[in-house]
Amino acid sequence: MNTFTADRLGGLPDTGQPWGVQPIAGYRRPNQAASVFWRRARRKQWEFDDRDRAGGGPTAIVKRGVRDGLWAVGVGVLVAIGPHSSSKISVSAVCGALAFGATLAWRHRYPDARPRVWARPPTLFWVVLAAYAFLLSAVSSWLFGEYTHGIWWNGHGLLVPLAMALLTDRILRKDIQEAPADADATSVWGVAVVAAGCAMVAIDCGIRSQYLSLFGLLSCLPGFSLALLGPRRTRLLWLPLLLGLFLMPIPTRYALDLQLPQLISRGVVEIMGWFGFSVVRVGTAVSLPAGGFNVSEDCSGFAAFYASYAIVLVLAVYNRSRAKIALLLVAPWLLAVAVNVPRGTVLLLGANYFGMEFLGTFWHTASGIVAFWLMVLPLLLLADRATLREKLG
Amino acid sequence: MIGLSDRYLAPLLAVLLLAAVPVTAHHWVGMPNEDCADPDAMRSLAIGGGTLIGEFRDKYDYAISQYTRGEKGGARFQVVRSVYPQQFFGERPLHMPGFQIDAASHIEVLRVDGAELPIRVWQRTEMGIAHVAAYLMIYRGEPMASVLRPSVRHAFDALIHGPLPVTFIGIDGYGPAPVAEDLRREFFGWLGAAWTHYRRVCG
Repeated sequence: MNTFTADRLGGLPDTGQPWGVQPIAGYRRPNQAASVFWRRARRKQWEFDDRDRAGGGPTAIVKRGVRDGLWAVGVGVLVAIGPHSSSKISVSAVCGALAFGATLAWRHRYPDARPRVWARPPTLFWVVLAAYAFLLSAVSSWLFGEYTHGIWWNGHGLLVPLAMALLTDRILRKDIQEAPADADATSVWGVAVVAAGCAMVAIDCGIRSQYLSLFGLLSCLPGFSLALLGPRRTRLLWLPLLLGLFLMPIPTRYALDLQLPQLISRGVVEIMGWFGFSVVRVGTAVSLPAGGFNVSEDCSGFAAFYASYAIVLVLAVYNRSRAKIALLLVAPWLLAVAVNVPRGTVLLLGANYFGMEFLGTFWHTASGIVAFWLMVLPLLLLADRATLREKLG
Repeated sequence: MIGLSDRYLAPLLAVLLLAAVPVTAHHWVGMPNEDCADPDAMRSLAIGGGTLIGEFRDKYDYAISQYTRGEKGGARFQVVRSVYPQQFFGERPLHMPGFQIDAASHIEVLRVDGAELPIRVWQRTEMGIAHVAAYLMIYRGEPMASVLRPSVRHAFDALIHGPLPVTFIGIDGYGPAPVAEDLRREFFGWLGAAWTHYRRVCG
């Protein structure tokens, strides 16, 4: 028997409630037999929301302010330490402050009026979470370096846990609207899966590959889900759990195997030729008389190429068009070349006119950040919005 | 409401705490991890020979305990010591300038003082310019071209007694195509001398 009880499964929203909370679109009543229970649970829940979220007591206002403040601090820190706000501390600090302000303004303008659906976890859960975080310390230095070193490496790393959390929240919110009221059985196999993941972490203390440790820690997540949420919800959460694999830093050296630096350097030579420049290319190094540079593995857009596939995974899963899915699968490679050839051309011209020092300036990093988002954002055009709305609300 | 079951929290905690023991020993307390009698002496590779310009860095980052870089007649060499071998698992070492070569590599065996040194070599010629790169790795006193299998083989021993560092010795350089073979021979000679030096200071 698991410890789920009926009163921990309530909280269904409904239409026509007098408390001013927005109903969740697409809600339908799961079954009539549970209607009395649901009505009670819902009323209790919505009363809580009324006081705590939309309501106006001083305590509620302070609580809301603290919650919004924490959100804003989180987003601000993420932007400041992340690689998307340049490597200059001053620029990063300004970007972090702007993100902090924007988040606060957003939360004020659009307060979170959704009903609270997550029950307070047992106290022991926080101890388990702390133990898991301690195991993460085996790879934390490595991951922090990979995720924050620059836009050239694994620039999406800090965003993946956020995406996993948001997807999990959306999927489970959708689930409690549609699922029957019976309790989910949790599975002892979750402990076995976590044990296997922990064994990998322990073995890797000897090998020190760090990849095995991280894989072990990621393997623990489905185990936690099985043991804490049950097999049915774990099956529902397969996408955010799979998305966790994108936390694995991939060395940029595979850019050469994908022909990215080679094609980009050739493209730069071709474009410069159209403008009458005679460019010498040796391998992946291109140069004009006054300056040149090497289209390195880092500079070939490999990081954005890898990040793109995290987005492709989500967009392809929630897509009914086979043509769009096929296009999504090849788009990152095409975009990597299409975006980085003009970027390489601009950098080469800069190095030629301003000297090699140009490559050490802010503009080099800025062009990388712009190229990253120019590769990632167009993928959203291939999204199946109707399916996304239907599946995630 | 979405509730978390507390049924298996205790066994989960037990499993996590068990794994925390080696993590504490290796990443927080620290384990002995040196098999070289005088690791600092590896730096003399950068000042021996009279024509070299050396650059030394200790704790290059969390993963690299010693980093030495030098130049010799246009060629550049790097000596890296690290207890995190993952950066050397692939054929092309990670973040090592000079080893981004779009060509297939191969292993050649160099015999020095009765020892067989497996050296990974790249040689690529384009537009009349040759790029040659070669490296050798040493793990547990043995020369090797790849450290992946030895790391896995010695995982249990390293878990109990602490990991030992991998020493990476690499050199690369450019030259006109006709002298590519001379470059290669010169690099092999330098790697052979580096191995002899390693045996002398660490043996």
